[in-house]
Amino acid sequence: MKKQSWGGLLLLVLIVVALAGGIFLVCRHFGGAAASEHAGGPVTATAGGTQMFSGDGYSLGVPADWHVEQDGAGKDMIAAYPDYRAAASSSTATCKIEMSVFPYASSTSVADWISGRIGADPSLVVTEQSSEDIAINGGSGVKWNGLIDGAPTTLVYAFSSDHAYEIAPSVINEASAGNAPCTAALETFLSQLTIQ
Amino acid sequence: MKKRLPLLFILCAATSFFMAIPAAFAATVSVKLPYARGESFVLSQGYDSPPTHIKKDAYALDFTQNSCQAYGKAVVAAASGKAMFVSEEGYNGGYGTELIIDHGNDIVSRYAHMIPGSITVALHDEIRQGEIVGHVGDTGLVAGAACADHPGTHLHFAMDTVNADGTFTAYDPEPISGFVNMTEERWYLSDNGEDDTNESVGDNRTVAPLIDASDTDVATVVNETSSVVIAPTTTVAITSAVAVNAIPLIGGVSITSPLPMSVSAPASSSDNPNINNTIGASSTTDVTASTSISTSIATTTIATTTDAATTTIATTTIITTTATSTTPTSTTLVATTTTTTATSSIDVATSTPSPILFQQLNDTANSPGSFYDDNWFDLGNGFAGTLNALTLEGKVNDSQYFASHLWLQEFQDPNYTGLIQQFTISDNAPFTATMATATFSGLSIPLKPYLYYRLATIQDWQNRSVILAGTPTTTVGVVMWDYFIPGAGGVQSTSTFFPYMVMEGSAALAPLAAPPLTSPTDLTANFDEIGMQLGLSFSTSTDPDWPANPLHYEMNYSTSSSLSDGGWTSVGSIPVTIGNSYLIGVRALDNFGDVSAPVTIIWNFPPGFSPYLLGPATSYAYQYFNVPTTSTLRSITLFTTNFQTGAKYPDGPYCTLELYDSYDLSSYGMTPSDNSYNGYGCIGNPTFSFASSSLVLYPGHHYQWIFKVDGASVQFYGTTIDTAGGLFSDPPLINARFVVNGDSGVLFEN
Repeated sequence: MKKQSWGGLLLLVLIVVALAGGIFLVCRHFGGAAASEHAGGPVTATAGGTQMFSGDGYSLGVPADWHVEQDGAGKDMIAAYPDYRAAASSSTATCKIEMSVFPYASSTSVADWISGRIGADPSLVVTEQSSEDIAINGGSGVKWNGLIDGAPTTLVYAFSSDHAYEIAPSVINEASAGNAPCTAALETFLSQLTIQ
Repeated sequence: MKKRLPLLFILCAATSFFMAIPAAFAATVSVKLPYARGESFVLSQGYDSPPTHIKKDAYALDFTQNSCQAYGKAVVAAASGKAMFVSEEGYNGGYGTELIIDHGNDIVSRYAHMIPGSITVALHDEIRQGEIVGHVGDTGLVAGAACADHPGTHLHFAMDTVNADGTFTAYDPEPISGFVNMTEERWYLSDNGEDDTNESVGDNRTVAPLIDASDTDVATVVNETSSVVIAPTTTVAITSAVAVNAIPLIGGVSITSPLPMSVSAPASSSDNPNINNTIGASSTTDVTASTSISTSIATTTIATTTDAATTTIATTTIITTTATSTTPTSTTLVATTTTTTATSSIDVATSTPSPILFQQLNDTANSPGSFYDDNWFDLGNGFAGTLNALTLEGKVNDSQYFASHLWLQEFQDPNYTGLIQQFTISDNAPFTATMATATFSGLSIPLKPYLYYRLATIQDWQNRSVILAGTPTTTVGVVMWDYFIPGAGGVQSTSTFFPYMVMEGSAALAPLAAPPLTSPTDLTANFDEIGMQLGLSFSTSTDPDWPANPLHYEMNYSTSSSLSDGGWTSVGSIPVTIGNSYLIGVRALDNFGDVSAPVTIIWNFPPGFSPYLLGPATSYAYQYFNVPTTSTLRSITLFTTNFQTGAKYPDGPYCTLELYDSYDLSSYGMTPSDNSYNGYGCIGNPTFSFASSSLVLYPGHHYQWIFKVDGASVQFYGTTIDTAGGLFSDPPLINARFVVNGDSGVLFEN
């Protein structure tokens, strides 16, 4: 369920005004700095309104107004929320992109690794609908589409020589537990991800 | 849209595919709340609520707390079992970091959205109910705004039955910790895990009331509760917990409650009208059948709160109870709460009067004594309370004297064979050659009425005895000494003797029963499939009155519904016959005949189990397998036995395992890396381990292992089920059992 807010309306107005005037608008509304929660890797903010994060073999930039959570008890996990505002008490995330990092040996078949990862939970019923190679900065990637327990699901896997990255966009609303509405944010996320 | 708490808008990730919600499964599991004892969580999403709690998650429960309080809190096992699936990270269909526990009987429980890397158990680990298994987080498909930094923080808990085809079906977990009809927005207090909530109350309790030995009309009161969990809006009669078995009290009742509570004497109790209860410092109420005692914490000290989870107020009110009658009787107190949840405890506490309880004066005789001996006086049992001071009269049996020791020794048994501990009363007792009185104060030695005490004396120099003055009559006292006879050595002697002694702060009570041994816990039967026998494992008992007392254990088993009294034997293996169910019990015993209550379990054969049978002798065997995923080979375990010889190198046969890859016609020779086999004497279940192997197995390849035994023959176990066209006795041993493990777990199992 996505809640309508005055903040969202204000954002829309600001964008329209900015485009009309040819003014580059730095997306930092709700009156404060980006709400980021990070404990795992270093983060820096650039003048261009991008937050930079890094972890096991990767670096990631996301828009400054995304909420980012990076922590884990010995595991590298980063979660980005494009539409969540921690400072707004009524805000509820509708899109979440979570990336987990796994060890990976380049001698391992990518297809086998992906199928083993998706189907690791013995309770899940997994149906693959499509799988396509995609470009990832510094490595290779696969975008997987299918059904997990009947829910439409998109998962992206990126591979470096010694790490595999599972990138899971997810959406919760009343109509569907699938993650298709996260598509645009996922593209932003992937375009700013670099692996070594 | 279902109604939710404004600040706790939580939606959970669990999606599912399967269909109907089954009726409660026939084989039940005792389920408790999946978070630590004493913690309250609110149910943010309940049963059968789309879009996530449907199908196999139709009985899922989402638990959280206000703001970010839940984040990082311990997740505990709702029931005992074994880790079936562990995923420290990843999406996992929306469950995020998750654990699935197999509780047997095809019942499993799931704990999802935990913090990455926080799971504390490994795959196949045995897990006890209440054991911490991870920590609450927000991984996977979650959303919510209650916790700003970790949006969507909650614990997703669900139970399922695993169907024959491997699919999962929702399983009704109720009652959970006694709760039924679990409802969204209600807070639930956990009782899962170790119970230590009553420690502080117990610490308030002094030992048995101290009374004059001549007061035959007074008994003792030692009664305390376990922590009493009061369910929402439920009136709980804590009859057994606070039944005051022997009135009058010298002491009172201590009530500790974080929430409003009243205590009353119910109309049905057999009350004692001769007891005055002073509540707090101001009011006095005579407890009768119709009188309600409202403690000050009931409505005044603590304001009514609706948020138990964030309110922790500990208040103790003492009801001082004094006797106005010499007639013992009993009463029963009932604790009632009208609030949502509370963990409360009620404890009968006693105050300590200051009697002089054991007093013998007017000495008329001296105890025996001689050179080279020590002296001790067996005082018997029945002493309860705290020994604060001891006065006695004595002298050293010599013209030369040195530091004298005076000890009080505590024994388990009337024969004084089981020394529990020794209290030092003085290491420099001021005894001289002249009989004189000495008082030793500031002792604070706890005495227990069911234990036996001995007063022992010795002097450093040549063991000269300390002679104590005695009295002509008393109720206790036997003196013993090592009488030295030149040329014959020491001879131990005894005689009746009544020491001149004053003990302050003690009582000559009738012996109370010793606290019972605790029962063993966590009894588990481990099935040896080939040996067709059970091994038992359990957590040991304790002996409350003597923790150092060595205990031993007995087992009993039966295929009926009861254990025979004569069936107890030392713990060992239990032979089992297929088709039977077994009632198994284990109990603890100490050296003095005390026996604990048994812990029992019922053990059944795994569903579908078929016994393994020996195949014929052969010098080699081979088998084919393939693997479902690419994985590095870690081990191959063959279920076989060597009937020729149990000896190892150089006498035993040499065992090798070859692995043949028909895809690229490669052959790999392997020997067990386990030194217990060392390549020889292949007894039991040889595991060929490849911990450092770089051999990668691929799907689509055909593999064959070939097991050879040089100069000897070997027998294999196989199943009775002929599924692949060959008989069990055929040389290829089509059904011989083996397991191939890779770095991702079991790759193939025959």
